[in-house]
Amino acid sequence: MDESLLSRQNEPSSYTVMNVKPVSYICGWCGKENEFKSKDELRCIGCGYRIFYKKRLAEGMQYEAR
Amino acid sequence: MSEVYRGRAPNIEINKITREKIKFTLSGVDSSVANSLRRVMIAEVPTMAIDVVHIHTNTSSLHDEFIAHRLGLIPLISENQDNYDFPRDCKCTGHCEHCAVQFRLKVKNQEGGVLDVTSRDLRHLSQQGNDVRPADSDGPILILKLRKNQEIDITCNARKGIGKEHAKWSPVATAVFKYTPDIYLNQQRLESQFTAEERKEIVNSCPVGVYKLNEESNIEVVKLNKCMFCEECMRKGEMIITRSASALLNVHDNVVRVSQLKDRFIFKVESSGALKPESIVSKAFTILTKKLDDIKQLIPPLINTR
Repeated sequence: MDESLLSRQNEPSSYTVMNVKPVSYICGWCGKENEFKSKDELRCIGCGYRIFYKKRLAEGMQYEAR
Repeated sequence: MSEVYRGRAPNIEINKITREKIKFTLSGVDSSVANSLRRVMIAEVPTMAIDVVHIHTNTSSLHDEFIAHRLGLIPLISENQDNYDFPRDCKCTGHCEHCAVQFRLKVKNQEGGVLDVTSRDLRHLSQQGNDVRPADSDGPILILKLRKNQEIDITCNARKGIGKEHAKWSPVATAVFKYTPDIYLNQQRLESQFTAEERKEIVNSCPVGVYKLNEESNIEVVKLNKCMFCEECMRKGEMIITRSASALLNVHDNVVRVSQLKDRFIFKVESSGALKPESIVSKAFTILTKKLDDIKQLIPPLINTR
């Protein structure tokens, strides 16, 4: 079923975009940065830990001071 | 009752002004007017305050929302707030020099130890709006602290607003009024039926020291405006009468009576630092009269349409 989704042509879906760009996460145990693609196993290359933290947005965040 | 309200001459008497506090007496008006003035000072006198915070980097121990909130609460000197528009009235989208003052807060601790980031580290992004700056003449206002290699990089917009929307725009810390105390002492009875010891008891019964014994050991009112209507003196006077023999004569006539003059109001207004206390009061009056004028203009057409 997954394959049929992927093979569907002319579809600018975010699914395919995410497959191309690996996303970097921070290991919750050793702090090493890990890059994952969509179907990778969530496991740190360094220590094998399975909990990861999302990185902060590079462009900054906007808040209301209230 | 209505004739009481006629022919009144509203008056203001300023008792004390310091850099952060004003005390004045408003007389010849109803309590509704006094209360409107108080509420306008709290909620409708506009000031400037940091409202939009853009956090680029934050590796400090405080989270973004926490820092944004603290920035918002810093009082900014707003004496020139008339030069700025409310964001909703400004023609621009977002922010411009007519409705916002931009600040940058960029600090990194490179030396080690603990570095205090204060209101003095807030820098103006442009030359304009230098009149709007943190009200920190009493010392820098601490925003956060940084350990070694921790870094903070923030741009923020100060905008004009009113306390009704958020308390950070309120120019006052305290804005209160009370009725003027009116103390009646039956000196004749105090002298004839009370001993000096009993008079001293009445003087000492007051927790704020309104009374004093003079040279002839008679009761004298020295700090009238300190009175907080606790009626301890009245109770003490009653107690002394009841325990003495004179109780049988005229119980209902107390020797000390505290009442309130309900058309004289003692105001105490403390500024947050954003505006001078006297300009808070005068601006509040301007706003209040403008509101009344608006209502006045709306009344005739309403009557004609009926």
